[in-house]
Amino acid sequence: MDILIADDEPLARARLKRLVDESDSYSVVGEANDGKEVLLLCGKLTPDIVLMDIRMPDMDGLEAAYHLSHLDNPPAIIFTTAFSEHALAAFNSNAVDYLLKPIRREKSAQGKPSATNGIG
Amino acid sequence: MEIPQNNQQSTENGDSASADDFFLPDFCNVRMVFAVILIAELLAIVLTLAPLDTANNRWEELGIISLFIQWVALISAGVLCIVRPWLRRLNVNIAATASYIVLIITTTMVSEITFWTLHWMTVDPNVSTGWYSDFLLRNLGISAIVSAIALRYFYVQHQWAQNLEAKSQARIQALQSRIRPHFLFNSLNTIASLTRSNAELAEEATEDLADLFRGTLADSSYEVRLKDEWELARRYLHIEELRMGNRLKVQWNVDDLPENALIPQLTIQPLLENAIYHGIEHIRDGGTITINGRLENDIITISITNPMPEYTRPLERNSNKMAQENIKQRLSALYGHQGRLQVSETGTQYELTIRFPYTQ
Repeated sequence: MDILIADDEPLARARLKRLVDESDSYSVVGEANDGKEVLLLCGKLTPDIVLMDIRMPDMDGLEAAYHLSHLDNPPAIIFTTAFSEHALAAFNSNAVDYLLKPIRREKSAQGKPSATNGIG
Repeated sequence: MEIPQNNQQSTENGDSASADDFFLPDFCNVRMVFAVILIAELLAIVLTLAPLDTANNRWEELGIISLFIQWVALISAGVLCIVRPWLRRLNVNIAATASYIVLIITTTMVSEITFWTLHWMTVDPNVSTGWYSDFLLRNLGISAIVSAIALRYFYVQHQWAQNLEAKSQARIQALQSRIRPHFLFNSLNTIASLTRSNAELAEEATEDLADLFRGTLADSSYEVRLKDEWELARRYLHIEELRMGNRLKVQWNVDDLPENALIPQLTIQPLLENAIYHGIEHIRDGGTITINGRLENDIITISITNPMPEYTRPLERNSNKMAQENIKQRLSALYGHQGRLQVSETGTQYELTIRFPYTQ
C-alpha cells in the first residue's frame, strides 16, 4: 500500500512516516507540504492512501480532498489534525477516517485497513 | 455640579450594554420610589433640626417641611421616570444638566403652588410678596445643593458599579485568553516526534511548554514585568520554531523598552500566536514576525507585524478578532482610555499595535 503524507510541519511528517514505516505492508511514497503539492504528487505517484493535515498553507486539506475526489481513481483520504474544530467539515468531505494528533500508534494501524476497505 | 468630562465608554457602548448603563436610576421602580421618600424625609428632619431657635413646635415644622419636600421629591422622581428613556440617548453631561434643571423647575413650581395656597387659604399678613421671594430663594438654594449632591451620588455609584463589572469582565477575558488547543496538540505532536529523533530538543520543548502553561495558569488579570512577558513569548516562539522549521523568523526590536515596565499578563504571547496562526502558517515559505517596542512620553508602544496570507477562511478571521477584542478590553479595563489596541493592514503586512502608560 502506497501512502502519501501531507503536513506543513516537518516534524509531524517525520513522526507519521515513522509510524507508517513500522508496518511491513505500508510504505511512504511521498511527502507534501501543502494542498497543491498533494494534488501534484497524487498525479505523479498515485498513492492508495493520503494521510493529510487539514490546516496547510496555500490550499488546505479540505480543498485538496475535494479536488482529489474528482480524480478517476481517487486515493482514500485520512485527515490528521490537532484539534477537532474541523471534524464536521472533514466528515462532509469524502474522507474515510479522521485521526487526532498526536496520533496513537494503534490508531494509525486501525485507520489504514479501514481506508483500504473504503477503496474496496 | 461636578460631572467628569469623559464618559465616552458608556455612551459608546450605549446600545449594546444592558439597561443599567445610564447613571440615573430608574425612578419608576417601586424600591427607588421608596428610597426617594426615605431620603426626602431624612432631609426634612435635618432641615427641622437645623434652626437654633424656633418659635413654632418642631413637630409641626417637620410636618410642613416634609409635605413640601415630599412633593418636590416625588414630582421630580415622576418626571425623571418619564423622561429617562429620552435622557439615556443624550451625552452624559447634557443628561445630567437636564436632570438638574428638572429638579430646580420642580422646586420652583412647588414653591409657587405653596405660596398661592397659603395666600388664598390664610389671611396671614406675613405671606406677602417679600416673604415669597425669600421663601423661593431659600428653597432654590437648598434644592440646588441637594440636587447636585444627589446627581453626583448617582453618577459615582454608577461609575463604581461599572468599574466593578469591567474588572470581572477582564477576569473572564483573561481566562479566555489562554492558549489555543490547536497549539497544545501540535506541540505535543512535535515533542512526540522529537523524542525519537532528538531527545535533547524534546526535553527543551517540554520545559518550554511547561513554563508556558504555568504562565497561562497564573491569574492573568494583573500585570507582570515586561521582562517576564518577553520570556514567556520567547518560550512560546521556541516551540513554534521547532514546529514550523525555518518558515518562522522573528525579529526583536525592543531594546528601547525598560524591562521593569508593567504589562498585562499574557498580552504578547496571544498576539504572536495570532500572527502565526493567521499569518505565517498560511504562507508556504513562511515569513518574519517583527516586534517593535518604544517608549515615548511615558507611553509604551509595542507593535507586532506579520506578512498576510493571500486568503484566509472567514471563520478564522473571526477568531482573530476575538483574541484582539479580549486584549483590547483588558487594556482598557486596566488603563482606561490610555490602553489601546490598533490594527492596520498595509498591503501585504498586518500590523497590530498596543499602547499603554509606562508604570513600574
